[in-house]
Amino acid sequence: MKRRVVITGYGVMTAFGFGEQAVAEHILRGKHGFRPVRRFDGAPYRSSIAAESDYDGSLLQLGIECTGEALGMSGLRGPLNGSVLIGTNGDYDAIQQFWQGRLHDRKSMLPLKASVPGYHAEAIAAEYRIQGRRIAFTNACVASSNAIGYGYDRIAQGQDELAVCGGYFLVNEEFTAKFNSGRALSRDGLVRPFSADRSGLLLGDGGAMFVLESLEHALQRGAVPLAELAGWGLACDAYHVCQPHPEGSGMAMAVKRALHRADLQPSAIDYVNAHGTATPINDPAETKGIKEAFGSAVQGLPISSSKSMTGHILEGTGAVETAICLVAMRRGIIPPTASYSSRDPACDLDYVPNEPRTARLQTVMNLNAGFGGNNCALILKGITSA
Amino acid sequence: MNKVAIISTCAIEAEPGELLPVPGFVESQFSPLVYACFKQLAAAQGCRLGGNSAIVLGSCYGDTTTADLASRNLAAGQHHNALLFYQSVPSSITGYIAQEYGITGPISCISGYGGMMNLLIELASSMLCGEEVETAVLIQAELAGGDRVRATAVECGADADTSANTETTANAGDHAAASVDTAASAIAGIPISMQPDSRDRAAGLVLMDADQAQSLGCAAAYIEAVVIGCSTEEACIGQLMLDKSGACCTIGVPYQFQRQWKEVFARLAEPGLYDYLILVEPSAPGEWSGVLITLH
Repeated sequence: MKRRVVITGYGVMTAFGFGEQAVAEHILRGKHGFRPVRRFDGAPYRSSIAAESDYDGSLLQLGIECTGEALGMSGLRGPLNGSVLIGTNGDYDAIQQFWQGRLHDRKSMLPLKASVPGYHAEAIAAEYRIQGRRIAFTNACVASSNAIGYGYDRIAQGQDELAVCGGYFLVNEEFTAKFNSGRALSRDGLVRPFSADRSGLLLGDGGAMFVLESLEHALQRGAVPLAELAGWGLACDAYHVCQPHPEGSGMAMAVKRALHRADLQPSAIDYVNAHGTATPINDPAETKGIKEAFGSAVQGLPISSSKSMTGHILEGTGAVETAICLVAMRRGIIPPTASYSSRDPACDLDYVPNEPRTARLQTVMNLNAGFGGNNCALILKGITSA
Repeated sequence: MNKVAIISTCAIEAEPGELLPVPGFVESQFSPLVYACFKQLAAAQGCRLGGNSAIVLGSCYGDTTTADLASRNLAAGQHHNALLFYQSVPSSITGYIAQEYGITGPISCISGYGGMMNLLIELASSMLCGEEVETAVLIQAELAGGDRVRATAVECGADADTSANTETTANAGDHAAASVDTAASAIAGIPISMQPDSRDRAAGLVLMDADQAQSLGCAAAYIEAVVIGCSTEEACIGQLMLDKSGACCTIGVPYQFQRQWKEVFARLAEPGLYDYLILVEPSAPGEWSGVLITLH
């Protein structure tokens, strides 16, 4: 018998700062956070713009702070039994500082262990005295969605009562250089998902951590669930190392698996937060995948990409966009696709262009994709039906 | 955890540069290592991989050659290298494999501190509980540690309670595996999964639902339980053997995950002596993890 899984607390940080209010005041109003990067010299790159925040802590500190917010909201304090599951590839600034030190005789400020993804899960578990599995998911842009999904599985299958899961990323020069080399960065300093003149993505700061519990566990201790995590799906394109399947087949499969696990029909979904990277290849493929998965229910289905405001948060993107979905549900506002300027015939769905919409959001989906053809869909349901 | 069948195994070591390259992946042997391990696993009799298969890849440090090369180049002022862009994430090689084998099931890549294979087994077992996955391929891979990895390991070890973490006695059952004398080069205070080595190494398993494997006649052995988080080795073995009786062989190699699993696989090939195999290892300071394998 599958157990129901609920969210009882979360902590979120984006380019606009920490907390739900920052999300509501910016992302739910269609304001983007792009500006010239200040953490490093952006001059060698195609774009030196990112959704960089004012946060000046380390990547691990960000994870610890988001986790603290989530636990605080849920009313839980250590010692706790449960899993800590994080989407992160570790702190590349630590690796960069090590090599800077070797080549230029500079002192490294960050501990090298922060470069080990698994260390982040260990450190967060130790900080909040959480006993259980500690795992970092490293599968690129679906990493934190995968972490949340596995947290769901562990609770639904009875292995855990509680899981702390999510992910995070801070804009750094290493990844800016890599995405620049891959010619994936936007040319005009904006991210325009699904728009005919889109030219690529920009990176962004962000992180989100969630406390997941079995419904019984939450109710027994008198916690107020914020939403139900109703199901999730993970699927692979089996197509290309770094390009999505042109028909979006893996995305469609991930969506169908999530719907099946949640025991929902496509028509039950009120809003989809799409991966929407604004790369020429992703957006038409995602559009086709959504059409395939939703069938006739795609008509009138609002779909938007919050990356148009937050930038691409890489390993943290699934978690942050899940938090955005949660805020959207709580506030009854669909975040728009910002900077949308002209229709692409290959992207012909309702992308909620530029203006937010008020709506009763009972069931929403977050969809992400990553290198290796990985695709992940998560479904949140309003707690009134939990 | 559900009982799952082991239908294929692989344990390989390679000198840097020894393995055949994988098209599109340059400089680093991480992806060739994962690919070589996968090919061996897939070649086993009865191993049918495709749409209903999953892949779970675990690596504590990941592709350190690529990460260090890109970072060193950047530190030296070289900002461009398109090839390193996509191979810097582990899901790229799993995507390559998925394309070749038509695998459309779930694919996860993880990093952990200790007891990595046990984490992979649990994750794969969880996938096998669903309707979509019939077969799960697990691979743990680590490259030979360079300067940065060794410095990282030493830093991690400095934090740990050495006495609680490195003393592996394997004091129940057969001790043959413990004779592998590599402990001298181990870094004190860190789990086996994190120990750097002079060679690239990988271990892998293919798991299937136990009933299905039995009906297909392709099970070599069964994994019945994984425990993580025991405070002592004895507690770990006790928890795994709870309600069990029969001849048990406990394997604990003090250093090097790949040799641990090679030892396990050697025992699987010689059935009859034992009813159970237990592999135990320290997974964190003062914490032990283990797996129970039934040989019938």
